[in-house]
Amino acid sequence: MFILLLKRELTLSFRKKADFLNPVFFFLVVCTLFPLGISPESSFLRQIAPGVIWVTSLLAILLSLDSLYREDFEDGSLLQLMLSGASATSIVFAKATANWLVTGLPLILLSPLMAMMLNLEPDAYWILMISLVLGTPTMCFIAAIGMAITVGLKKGGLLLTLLVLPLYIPILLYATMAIQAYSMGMSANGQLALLAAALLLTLALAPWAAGAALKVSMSD
Amino acid sequence: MFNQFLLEAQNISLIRGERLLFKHLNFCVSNGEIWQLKGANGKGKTSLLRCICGILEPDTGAIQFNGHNTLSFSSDLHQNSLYLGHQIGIKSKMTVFENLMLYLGLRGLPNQTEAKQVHSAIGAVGLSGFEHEFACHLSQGQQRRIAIARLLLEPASLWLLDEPFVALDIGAKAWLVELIEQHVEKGGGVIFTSHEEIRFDQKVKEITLD
Repeated sequence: MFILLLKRELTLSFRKKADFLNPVFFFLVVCTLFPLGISPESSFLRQIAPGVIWVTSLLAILLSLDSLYREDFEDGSLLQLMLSGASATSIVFAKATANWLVTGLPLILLSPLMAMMLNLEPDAYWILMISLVLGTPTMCFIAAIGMAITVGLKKGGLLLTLLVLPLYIPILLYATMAIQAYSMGMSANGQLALLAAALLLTLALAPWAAGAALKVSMSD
Repeated sequence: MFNQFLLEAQNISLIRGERLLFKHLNFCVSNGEIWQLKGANGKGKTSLLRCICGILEPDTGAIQFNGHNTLSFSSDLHQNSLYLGHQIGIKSKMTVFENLMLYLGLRGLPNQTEAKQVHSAIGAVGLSGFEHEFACHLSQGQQRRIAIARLLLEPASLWLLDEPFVALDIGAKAWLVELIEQHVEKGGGVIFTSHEEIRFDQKVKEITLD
């Protein structure tokens, strides 16, 4: 059932190219604007690179969230999915996984390019990518809960941001701290372990929480 | 042909916001019956259908399907009922064939017969030749036919149809009436809402919400 749902989500995502490409272009354009808007000085860019890449990734993921359940909710597909016998948990798991594959994964693959542009030390590229591999799925699954709560609301976007952004702060802090620590020659294992723990906790709890929220939203 | 089913609503009331939609409603649907929900706009017809599906929880009372509360999302209810709502749940960026194959896959029906079944259902609803068209390229009535084709794909005993005749032309309406009658003759049950006067050969029981 999960594979079928995932296939459905990926098929629909790749057919709506705007939904798929917007966050990626947003990531590329905003990362490019920072050196232009602040300073092209290489040592300064090196200092802000982890924060810029991470904040931009976070905003790009937020940008992709509206398509997570909204269209299915409005055209009746979500109701049909719920009535088909698929559990709300598996629906959420498939949707959040697909969202990460079409949004988070391209950001991870493009991040070394942005890191190079922002003059991050080449040794820290791997830490940047590992932090994104651990952090972006966590953000997608947290967002799945927020979207499930707000999907029935006409203008739920602002509420979603208020619900989700505070939960992203620890991820952002640990990820940027990991990259900075490594750049200064220290170990980043502690921060990465905390990111991994957050990912496992989110994977274990978010689908169930979002599934329950989805059932409540459907009944409103 | 169908397993014995009995839908029993006891003392159900529903309040939405500050409005009481219906109060202490009792009815019992058996095999081979057609029921029509009647009432003006906003009187709770769709909400009642959603209560029967287990999506909405009534404020009082309970609805049971084969002895199980519909709120429990039991597999018995899912396997033996089909809901066709106002929003038909067709994905515009999928073809007619893909929409129906996905639906069958989600219902967990055997793979070997799926494609054959889907092609024959598409033919039956008059969409032959449109199998590989994206749903967004079809008219509203044709999209509605895709949703109706689901009714042909599996032998669910209870059909819950919310305004099924909307956007259909005269021929398609007559065909749907016939389809409903055939389903009921085989022992299935149908609960539908409609603002139109629909004539069936057999007796239609009514629930009026006012």
